[in-house]
Amino acid sequence: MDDYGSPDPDKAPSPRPSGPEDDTSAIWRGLFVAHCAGDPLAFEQLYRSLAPELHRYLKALAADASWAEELVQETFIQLHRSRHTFDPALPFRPWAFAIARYVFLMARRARTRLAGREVAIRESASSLEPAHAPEAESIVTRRTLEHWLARLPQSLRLSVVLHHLLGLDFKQVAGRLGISESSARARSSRGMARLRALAGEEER
Amino acid sequence: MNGFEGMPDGLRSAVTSGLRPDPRSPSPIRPRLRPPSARVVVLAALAIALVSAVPISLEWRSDVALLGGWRSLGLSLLQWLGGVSVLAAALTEAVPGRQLAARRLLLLVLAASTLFTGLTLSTLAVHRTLVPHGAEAIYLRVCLGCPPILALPLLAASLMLVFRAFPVRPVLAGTLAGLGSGLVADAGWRLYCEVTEPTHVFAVHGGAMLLSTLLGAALAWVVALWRERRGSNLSSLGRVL
Repeated sequence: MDDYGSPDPDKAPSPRPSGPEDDTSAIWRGLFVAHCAGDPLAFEQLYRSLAPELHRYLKALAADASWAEELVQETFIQLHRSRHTFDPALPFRPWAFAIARYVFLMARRARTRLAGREVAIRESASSLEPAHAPEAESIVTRRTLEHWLARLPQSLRLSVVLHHLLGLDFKQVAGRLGISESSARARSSRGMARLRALAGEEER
Repeated sequence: MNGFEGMPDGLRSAVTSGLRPDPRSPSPIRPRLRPPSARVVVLAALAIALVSAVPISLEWRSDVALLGGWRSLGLSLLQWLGGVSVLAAALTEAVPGRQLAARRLLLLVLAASTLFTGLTLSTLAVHRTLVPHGAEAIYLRVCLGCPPILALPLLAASLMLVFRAFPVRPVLAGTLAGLGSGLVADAGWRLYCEVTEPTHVFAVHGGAMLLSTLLGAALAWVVALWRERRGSNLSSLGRVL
């Protein structure tokens, strides 16, 4: 059975309390209920109080502190989006940590999928004649370009390589990466902005 | 001191835009999900319609008078109740933080199997009917293929309710939805199929329930994958990875 159905495949600490709701969880519940009622400060307070604990939990699952930080942000977005599933009569902690764990599993799957695509793209890139690479190489060496590309996040790097180096249009890039055309365009644009920033840093 | 003193701007804007008042409703609060026990009422009504539709639209089994009210309709209602209970478990499983423990899941599957076995043996004790000689293939095809098709509307409705919540183990929730729908469909089918021979009932009717269960799991997997990919485009996950 895959991640979707596996009861508990990881060795991460269980966030589920064995007894009745603890005080911290009750405070979080109050803040979340206030947030749902439209209190603009409640979510901020909840973030300050809950994020460190979520980070510890996600770090134990992901074994990567910086990735866990990103997962914390994603978890908070999901907590907000699925607030209609929260029953204020029930403890907050199991609800929130179940969502955090799901976010981790989803991210891990996405990461594995993207890694597989990157391998496939690298293989096809080695067999293709680069469309715009000669222009790029007239400005920077191939080694420098590779160095800069390696510093981009994976999602941006893939879009830049596919569009700017291999010459695929955004529709094709979107098809290859399984994302929408506008996302492909945005990622490619953000990737190029980062590359320009890196080039600027090197010049200085 | 930790690194989470201030909420990042991206997260703040994502959250506050979600709290923007909806013109249709003066409150920013989205309607709270009703408890599984309340939501299952819709499925129970659909399930009872499904059970009664089989003998009404096809025909009642030929030995219904011999079996009597309890062993025909009564036991089917008992199986309907069992199926609805499994559907309620699927709806509970779909709410984050309320996932079923492994022991409870095992008990649920054991109870469903015991119910099915008990019903079969109870009917067999009164009247033994064999599959007519030479008609094995037809009985196999009809009794294996029709119940999962009959279960489809109930399965679709169950999965809709499951995904209206936020199932953190969607395949498991889908499996339960499939098992519940399969049990309900069989509760109706046993009012039509008069064969009580255990090999036919366990292998073919049981196989039909297994098909419904697998279908529920597969559909849930597909929906979860779609939701996951759509989510990764909408949220920051795409940026992170």
